[in-house]
Amino acid sequence: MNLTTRKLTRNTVPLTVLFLVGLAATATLAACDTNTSAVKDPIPVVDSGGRINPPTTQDGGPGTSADGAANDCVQNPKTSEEIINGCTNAVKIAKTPVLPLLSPDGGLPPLP
Amino acid sequence: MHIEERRPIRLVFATFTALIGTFATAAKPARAAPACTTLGTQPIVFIEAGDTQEPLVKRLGERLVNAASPVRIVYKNKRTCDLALDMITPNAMVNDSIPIKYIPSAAEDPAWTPRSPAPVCDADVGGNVLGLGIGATFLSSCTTLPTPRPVDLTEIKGPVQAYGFIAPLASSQVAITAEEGYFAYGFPGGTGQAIPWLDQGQRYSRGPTASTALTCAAAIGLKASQLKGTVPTGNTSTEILNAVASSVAPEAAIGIMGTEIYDAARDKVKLLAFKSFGQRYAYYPDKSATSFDKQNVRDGHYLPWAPTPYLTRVGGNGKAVDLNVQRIVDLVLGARVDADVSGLDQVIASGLVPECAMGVQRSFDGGPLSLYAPPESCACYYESKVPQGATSCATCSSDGVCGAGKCRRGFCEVQ
Repeated sequence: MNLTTRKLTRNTVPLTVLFLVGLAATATLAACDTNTSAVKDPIPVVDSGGRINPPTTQDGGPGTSADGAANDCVQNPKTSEEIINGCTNAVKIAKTPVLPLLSPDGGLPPLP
Repeated sequence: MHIEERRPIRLVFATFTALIGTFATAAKPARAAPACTTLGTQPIVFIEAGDTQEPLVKRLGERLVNAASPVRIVYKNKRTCDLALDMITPNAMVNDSIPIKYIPSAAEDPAWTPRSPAPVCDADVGGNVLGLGIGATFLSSCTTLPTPRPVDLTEIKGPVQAYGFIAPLASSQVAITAEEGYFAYGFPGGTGQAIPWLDQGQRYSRGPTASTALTCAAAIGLKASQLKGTVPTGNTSTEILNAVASSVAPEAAIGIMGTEIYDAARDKVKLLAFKSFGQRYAYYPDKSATSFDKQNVRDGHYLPWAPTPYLTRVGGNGKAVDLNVQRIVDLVLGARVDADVSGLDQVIASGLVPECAMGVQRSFDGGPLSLYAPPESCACYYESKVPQGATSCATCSSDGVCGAGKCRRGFCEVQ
C-alpha cells in the first residue's frame, strides 16, 4: 500500500456514496410522481434471471406457471390475441393510463 | 437644411425602386423545369407513390438509373387513395401543385445521393402514362375508390410499412396505448382527457386519404376521417416531423409518421412504444428503442403496419405490360437480383420489411394477425442487413449444413 493507493481509496468512497444517494433520491422522486398516469421511462420487465421477459410454461394461451403465478406472455401463440402477447426478448413497457371516459367495463364510448 | 430637403426625394426614389423590383420579380416567370422525357435516353417509369415510399423510390432509382441496363424513375408523392384512383381511372401524371421529381444519373449529378432532394421536371403536355402506383396501406381502407376495378389492373403485395406515434425529444412520454390514441385523436380539443395530449393544435395528423392516417387511425379504433388533429398545409410527413420536432409544447405534441421516415430522423423526434387493444405491454417497432430490426413488426408485437400495394397494368400473362415496371416489382420482391441492383437490399435499407421476413400477416387495416410462414424466408438475411444488424442464423454456402432449412443468400433460413 502506498500513498497513491490510499488517496484513490479516500476519493472513491465519497463518490460511491454520493452515487448511491443520488440513485435513491431519483428512485424516490420517480415513485412519488403522480401527476400523470403516463409512464415516464421505459420499464423493461426483468425476471430474476436477468432476462427482459418472464418465462412461461403454457402453450397457446395465458395460464399459470408451476408456482401458481400468472403468466404475462404466451408461448407458441396461435390466435391474434395470443400473438400480440407472445413471449419475446424485446423491450416491453408497462402502461395503464387513467382514462376517465373509459366505460366501466373498459370499453370505448362512442365519439362525440 | 439642404440635406433635409432631399430626404423626401430619396425616400420616393427608394420606394419606387423597391416597387419596380417587386413587380419585376413577380412578373419574371419561374425558371422552367426540363421536360421529364428529354432528360436522357434511358427508358422512364412514371410512378406515383406515398411519401413514406420516397426513400425506397430514391434508393432503388439511384441504382436503376446507373445500372448497366438503366431505367430512370420519375415520380410524384401522392396519398395512397389518390394514387390508387389515378391508377384505376386511369389518370396520367400531369403538372400540378405537387412537384414531379426524377432520379438523376451519376453523370448528370455526381454529388446526388438518395438523401439529397430529388430535382424536378415537367410532364409532357397532356401528361405521361403512369406505369406504377405504390401505396402504403390496404386499399380496402380507401372506401371511395370506384368498383369494380379494371380487369387489367393488378395489385401486388409489397414490403411492409410500419407507422407510429412520434413525440418531441423533450417529451417525457415513452408509450401510448390504443385507448389513449382513441381519446386523444377521436375527441376535439382536450375533451378526450388523454393526458398529456389535450391540445388539438399540437396533435398532428395527415389527411384522410394518406396511408399514415388510415393505418394509424385503424390501430386506435378510428377512421382516418375521424382524426381530430392538425393537418399541416401541405399534408406531408416532412411537415409533421418538423412541427413535432420544433414544438414549443413538447409534452402535448404528438404526430403520426411512417417508421422509415422516423428511422432517418431519430435525432429529431422519438417514436412512442405502442400498446394495442387487448395487449399487455407496449412495444417499439424494433426490439428496443435504439435498434432497427423491426422485430416487433415481424413477430406481431407491434400493430400499426400494413403492406404496400403495387398497382400496375398487366397483360394476359399476368405480368406488367411495361417490362421495366415488372423489373422494378421483381427487384422489390426479391424475385430478381441484377448484378448491379439488389432490390431487397434497398427495401431493407429504406426501413421497410420485405414480406419474406415477416412472421405474421393480416388482411385489412387494424385487422387481426395470423401466423405467416413465407414460402422463401429471408428473415436471417434481413436481420443481418439492417443497421446494427446481427443474426444468430448459421451461415452457409449450400443446403447441406442447414438441416431441414434452406441456404439462401448465405444464411440457413427456415425454408
